[in-house]
Amino acid sequence: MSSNMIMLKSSDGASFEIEEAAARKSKIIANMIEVECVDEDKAIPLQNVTGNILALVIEYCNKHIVDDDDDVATEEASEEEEEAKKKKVDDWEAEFMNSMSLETMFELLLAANYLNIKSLIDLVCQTIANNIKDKTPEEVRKIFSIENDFTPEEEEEIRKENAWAFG
Amino acid sequence: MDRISDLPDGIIIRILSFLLIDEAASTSLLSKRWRDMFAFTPNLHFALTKPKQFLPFVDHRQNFMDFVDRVLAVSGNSAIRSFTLKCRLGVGSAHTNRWICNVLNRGVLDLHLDVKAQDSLIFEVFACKTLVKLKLNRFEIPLLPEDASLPALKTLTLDYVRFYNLGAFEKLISACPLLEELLMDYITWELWKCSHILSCPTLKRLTTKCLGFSVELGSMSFDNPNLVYLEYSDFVQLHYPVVNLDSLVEAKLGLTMKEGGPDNCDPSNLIKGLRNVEILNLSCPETVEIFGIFREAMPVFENLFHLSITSEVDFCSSVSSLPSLLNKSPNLHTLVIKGFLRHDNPGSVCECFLGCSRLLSCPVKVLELTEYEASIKELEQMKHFLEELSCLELVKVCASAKDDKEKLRLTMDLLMLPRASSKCKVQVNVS
Repeated sequence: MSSNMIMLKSSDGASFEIEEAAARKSKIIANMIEVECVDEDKAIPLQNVTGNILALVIEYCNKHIVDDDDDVATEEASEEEEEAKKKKVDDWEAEFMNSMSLETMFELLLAANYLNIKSLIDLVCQTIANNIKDKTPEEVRKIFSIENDFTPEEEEEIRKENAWAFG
Repeated sequence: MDRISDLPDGIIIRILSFLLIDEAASTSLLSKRWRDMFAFTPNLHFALTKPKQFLPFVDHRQNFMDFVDRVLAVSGNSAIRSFTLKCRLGVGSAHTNRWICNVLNRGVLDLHLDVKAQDSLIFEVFACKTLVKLKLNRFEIPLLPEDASLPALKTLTLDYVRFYNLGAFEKLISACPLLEELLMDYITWELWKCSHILSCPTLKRLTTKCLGFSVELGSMSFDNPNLVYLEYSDFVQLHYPVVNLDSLVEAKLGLTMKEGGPDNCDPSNLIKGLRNVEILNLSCPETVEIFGIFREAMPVFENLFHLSITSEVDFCSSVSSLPSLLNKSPNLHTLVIKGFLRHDNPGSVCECFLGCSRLLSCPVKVLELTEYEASIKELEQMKHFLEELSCLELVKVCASAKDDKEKLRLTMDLLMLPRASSKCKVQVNVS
């Protein structure tokens, strides 16, 4: 495994050094490295990601850097070790998501989407889904500041259309 | 500020795909932006369960049908990755056929059906080019037409499935050229007392429970040269004409005998066919007994590394095959005994081990006991194991104790036992 370092530059001009293996979690960056031959002393500019969000993305990528190598190592690791490892990652992810505001979560989701980091998109989407689960539409609207633009008649119609789901 | 509604459609759909369909559907009330979003999630799982609140079933069922109709209509031609439909209570096949055919044309990869199905629908399902995973519950499978083909299918699960026509099962398997995993639970064959062959060169994992020979026994052949994992629980059949399991690594067997006992069945070829296994689990006491009865058929298990046996209340009679198994396993590393060591023999030590001088040369390094009860006879038995198994390095004992005093006594008793191997450690887990 190469331990090459590469530079990323956020939209607000902050530079970050990251291991190439971690940066490759992003399909977009991996693609740039492969196709465009990233210049060694030049940072990759990421126009849609601010510094504070990029720092979170890098924190996530560094934490998951070993994942890809695991496939090779699994044969030797026992089931218990695997489980313990998975739990550690799950705990870390729960803590990571817990530590940020909804506002930050959306920024992170958009950044993950832009950088095409599938596992991070899924982690944030799952966290948001958990915020919707088991709640009434009124509660969900309140959490996410969604404005109800239905007339009472329209609302009644939707309740009818999807009656099975509400029953 | 409403940030969530500004997310791109694809991301909103991704968020909703982490919810059950009824949870996702409740977001249709949030605002116009959300009204139809949930219908585009690529994993659609519909199950007609009982109404959550009081509602006449007829109305509930109508609501269900309207809902499925609407979701499939709204989402148009968008790709469906996985689709589940479970409804047996009075949803007519006109509806279910329409839904399933819709989904089959939308690139579905994973399909799980528990519906009343007509032959014509089954022919549609078995001509689907995209399916990778298929699970059918309570289906009656007719003889498939010549052009039946599931060219991408890797995993097939059949639960409570009946095959009516002669050769229907074999035809189904041969329609799946890439099949890697087959799970069968309670299969009823088309004719009783019939011979069947499961022949699939690509199959890697096979789990079968209760194939439908329960009325009369038949013959079963396994021609699966690339099978790695076999789980087989059933009555032992009359015979196993062809058994080719040369790549088998792990086998879990729960075999029992129908009335008539060993005169009426013959697992010899099956036992011989296991010769390459590395992990063998005899998961019910009768299976251990059957290996004893047919010990003549036992090959040398050259690769066997891990052996689990399950003993019954009377350890001595239930593990009569153990000495033969140990003799035939020159490279055994771990022996697990699930169940009790207790036995009803008047003698103090289990007879099946007395006179089995070969125990001394048995290479077992790890011995695990899952249900140690700490009776005097069990302790004697343990003493016997520790004195005879000269290569032991680790003994793991799981026991239960009423109180701390008993726990201490039990642990001390085990730790004080003399050991043939100086390297042997004893680990006691008391719950």
